[in-house]
Amino acid sequence: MTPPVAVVAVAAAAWPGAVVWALLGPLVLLAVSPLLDGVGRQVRARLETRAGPPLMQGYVDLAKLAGKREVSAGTGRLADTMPYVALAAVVTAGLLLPVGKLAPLGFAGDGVVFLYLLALSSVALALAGSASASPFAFLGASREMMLLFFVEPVVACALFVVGLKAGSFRLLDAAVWHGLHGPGISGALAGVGLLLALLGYMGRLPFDLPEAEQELMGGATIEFGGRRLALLRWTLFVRWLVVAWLVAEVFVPTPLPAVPAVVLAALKILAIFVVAAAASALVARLRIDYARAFLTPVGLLMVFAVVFALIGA
Amino acid sequence: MTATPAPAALDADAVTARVRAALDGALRDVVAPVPGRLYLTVERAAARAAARVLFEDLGARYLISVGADRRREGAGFEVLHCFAFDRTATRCVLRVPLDGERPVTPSITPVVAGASWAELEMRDLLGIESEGHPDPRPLMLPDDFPADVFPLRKDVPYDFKVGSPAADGDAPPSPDGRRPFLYREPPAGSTVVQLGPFFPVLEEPSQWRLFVDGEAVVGADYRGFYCHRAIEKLADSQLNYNQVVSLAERICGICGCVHTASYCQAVEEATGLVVPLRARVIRTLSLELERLQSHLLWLGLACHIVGFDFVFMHAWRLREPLLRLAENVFGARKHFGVNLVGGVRIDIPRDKHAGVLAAMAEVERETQLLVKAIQDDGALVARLKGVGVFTPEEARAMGAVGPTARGSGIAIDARRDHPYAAYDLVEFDVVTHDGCDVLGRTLVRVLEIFESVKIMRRCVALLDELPEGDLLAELPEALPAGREGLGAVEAPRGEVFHYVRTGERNGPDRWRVRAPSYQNIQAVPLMFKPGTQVADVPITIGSVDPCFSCTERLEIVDRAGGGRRVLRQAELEELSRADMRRRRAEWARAGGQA
Repeated sequence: MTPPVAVVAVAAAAWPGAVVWALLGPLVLLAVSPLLDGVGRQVRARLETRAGPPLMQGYVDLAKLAGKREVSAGTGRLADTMPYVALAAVVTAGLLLPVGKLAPLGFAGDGVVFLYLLALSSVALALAGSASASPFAFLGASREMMLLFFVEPVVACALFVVGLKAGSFRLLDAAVWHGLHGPGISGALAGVGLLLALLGYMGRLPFDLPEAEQELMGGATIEFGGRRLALLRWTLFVRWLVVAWLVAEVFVPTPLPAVPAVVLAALKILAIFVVAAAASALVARLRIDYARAFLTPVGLLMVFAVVFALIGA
Repeated sequence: MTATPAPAALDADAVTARVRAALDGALRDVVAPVPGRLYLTVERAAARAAARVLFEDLGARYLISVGADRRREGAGFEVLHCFAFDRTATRCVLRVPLDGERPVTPSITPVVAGASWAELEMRDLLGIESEGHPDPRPLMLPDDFPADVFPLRKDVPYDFKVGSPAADGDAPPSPDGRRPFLYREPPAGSTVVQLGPFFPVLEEPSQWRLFVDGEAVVGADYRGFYCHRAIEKLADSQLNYNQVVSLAERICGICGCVHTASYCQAVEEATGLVVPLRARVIRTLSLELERLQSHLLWLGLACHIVGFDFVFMHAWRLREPLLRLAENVFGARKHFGVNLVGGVRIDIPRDKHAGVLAAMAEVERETQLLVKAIQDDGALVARLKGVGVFTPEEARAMGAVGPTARGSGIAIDARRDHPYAAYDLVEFDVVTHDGCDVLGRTLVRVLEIFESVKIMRRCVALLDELPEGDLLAELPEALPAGREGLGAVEAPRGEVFHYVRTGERNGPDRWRVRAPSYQNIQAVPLMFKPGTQVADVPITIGSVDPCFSCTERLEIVDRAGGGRRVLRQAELEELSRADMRRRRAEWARAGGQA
């Protein structure tokens, strides 16, 4: 999908950084993301006048699950492998994202790859769910896919808008162009629409339908336990981080030198995540058809954004 | 569905006249022991016709059918179909005497759909067959219960055990006589999604088998009665009148007062005891306090079901001052233990009145905020509106009560229609809603909180005026046997109805409890209208505020070899830990492998 020449060219231009980030990046993403779980649960608890679990709870949960015995309930090879695919895909997507003016692993067209990697992660989760015989898992998996079909075009439109204006489907180019010229009407519309749609990607209320505990118990993950469940939860954590990061750095970029850019990026990601968590605590879960109805105007918003981008606004 | 006739304002004499005219000599006996109570004895063959006259022609509301074993008095079996005329505060009982050898009665379920469970219950527990029942599947007993043992019959001992001849008496064990539960076949092309018996948002065991096509529900089947506790049998055979009060309190974990109050009222009515006014006011106050905490509990759970944990947590936080108030006034957060036959055992002295009023002010203020949070939340309202549609006609046919009926615009409320305790001295509105959906039932409950606050305040004012003391009517040495009483209380979930027939051993001879959920749960499958989504099912079930433990209060279940022993909490915990240790050891022996 991407000319290998471009990859080679980019890699050649900054290969020491690329190698370092390729080795370090996954560790950073995996290490930082469980913190968001603790933050989200604290936000929620405070709104509900509870004390809530400690900030480290996400790590504790993962460690606990990883130490549990694996119990297989009629699930096959798909269920064994898909959690790894889901986590790997979302981590790889995260590696492509820029920070400030840096994108060590960026290449021309990485926006498209990013989009497909996020989708791959969702598909892997859905496949894992449908590999079991449980009807709840099956319903959860089909909901995951349905949400994907509605969210995917929105994300594609948003990336198309910024790419169109920057004249490049490279995430870093879009970020830099945004940083220089400001978002404009189309960028702002695309950013807002993206944020709304991405609540689905983030797997938070009102869109955490695939795992609606009250309706489907554990949804797609119901038949999972132990290490594989830990992987799926970790996938969700990294997904939150990656999505918040995308909005923070591509739609609200701050072209600064490396160190302040990283610090600022962390703060922006945290702010976006806290807002999303607070919003989720204050709304009821939508039914799947209402979720669709909710996303339709978002789609319309994206069409406007594309039109504005085409006329250069 | 039968059309809803205009509720008739008929008193006991008019009802008798109409039934007599319609039955043409099959009406054998008419007894009206106290005003507002009417016992009509009809020929067995005319039972269904009589039910039709009451239910369809006269517009009576169906309450429950009670089966009784009176063979020891030489009266064979009997069935009592209970109806209510809400506009004249009259309750009418159709008594159908049956043969002691082969009790068979015409089923009234074809006329009154809501009589289904009650008739199946009589068959399972007493062996009274209802001829012409449209769905005669097993209902109550476990699959391995012998088919020829009817546990509520007087000749079956209360501690009957399957397979232990010593305790069996004249009921021989019959390992082959099983009655497996028959599940309904799903419609072609649909798959079965089974909710329960254990499901995260249903706090008690109940099994709902949903027939789904994609996300759409095309049918449902229900199996309940997992929690039998032999409560009625125990009371009918072992306990005296005031011991039953303690047992009745424990029918339900949320609303114990409603059962003790209606049981006490039934006994008081049967034996002619007059309860002092102050005791009646205290009963009113305890019942309303219970309603407040129950409605807030439900509101939290309902919001949790639709994933709105924000209101869940705040509703339960708000419930806390009510439970503390209960502890302050009655000495217990739940199970107030306030009622006795003839009155109450706890006074509420003046120094506690301020605490009650302060709690009411807090509840009123904060509930207004909760109402606003709910009404302003478009997503939540959209989620509840048009879901679980329940028409007034269906509500009448199923005998639905409480917020489940009032949410469909049916203004019935035992507090107003059949005043008891001190409800004739307080003013309040009967909240109804015409939505006929989950939203309607939700709003009825939430707005009832404000009415309860009003009643509580009025009760405090009444207690201020009345002299302290004088809480209990003088009980005679032994209460007369063979009398009947009907007690009813408007519980948070709807009207609780108790039938008591007094016995020889200074305890009830027959005590039948009809919890509101008994009728309301039967109606839930009707709420799965075409277009219902899987996501709507939990909140639809939740919207009737089902209380499975109330519904499943009776029956003896002592499986073969299951010795009876009472465990204290420490022993239970120890058992649980020992089991854990055993499992750990097994796991270690297996080399720590799966």
